[in-house]
Amino acid sequence: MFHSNDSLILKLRSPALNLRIEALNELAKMPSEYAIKLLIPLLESEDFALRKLAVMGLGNHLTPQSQHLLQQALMVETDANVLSEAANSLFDFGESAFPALVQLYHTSDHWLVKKTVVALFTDGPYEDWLAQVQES
Amino acid sequence: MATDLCRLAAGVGHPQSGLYEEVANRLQDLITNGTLKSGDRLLSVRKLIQQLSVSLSTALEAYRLLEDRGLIMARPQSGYYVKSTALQLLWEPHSTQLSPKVCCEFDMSLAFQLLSKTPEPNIIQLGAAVPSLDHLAKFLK
Repeated sequence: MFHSNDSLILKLRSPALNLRIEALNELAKMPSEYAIKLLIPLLESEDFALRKLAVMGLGNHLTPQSQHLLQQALMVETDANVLSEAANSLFDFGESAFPALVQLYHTSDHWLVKKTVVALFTDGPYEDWLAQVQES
Repeated sequence: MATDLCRLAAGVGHPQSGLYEEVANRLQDLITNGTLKSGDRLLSVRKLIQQLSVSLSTALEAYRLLEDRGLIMARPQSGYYVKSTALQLLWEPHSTQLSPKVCCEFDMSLAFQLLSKTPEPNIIQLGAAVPSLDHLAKFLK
């Protein structure tokens, strides 16, 4: 178990994108408790690409803990790429996560973050939420 | 379109910094070859990332690049669409190739030699003014 755990972490930290995606897919099939434990250290990494992977991975485990971690990430994260992915992951939690997305839209100045929130609400019957993030 | 995107997905799995450019170029190809026609709605960003296994930022940057190229447009609260002018833009030449002007050396000393000979009576000044016919008629009277 520890051996596979190590190889999974190595894959997650690999510079090769395909290996990272492979690791994320493996993590998605694992028990949430175990997967989230592996993802938390990545959330605190200095490398934005690893933080991005972490928030992507958390989106595959719809638990209150991962929702909490993602909402926390929205508040402390400064990188637009990571914020964008965190928003995408949070969207899967449904309407309970939408107020945080609206807030993110209004607090971020980055086009990628704003476009992300709009694109997410566009992908479904969420006219009321879309109205709150009208593009200026 | 799904099959074409599957082919696209096969080509975008490798790690490259310009991944979004690759996605944009492949989508542009779909517009060029007529798979995507003007007015067609593009896949939603979330569907695109699912089909291509790319990140959301990659998908959004690809759509933004296509917007910058004038090929697609975002309609508020609706999504991305192929612009009616997309094909026209793709068929127009990107720039006109102007051939450089050929410059020849000109020997200025020849001009000075001619100027210096103008007082000589046996040299006709072809550049001199010629009176109009009206003036000549008056002169002949």
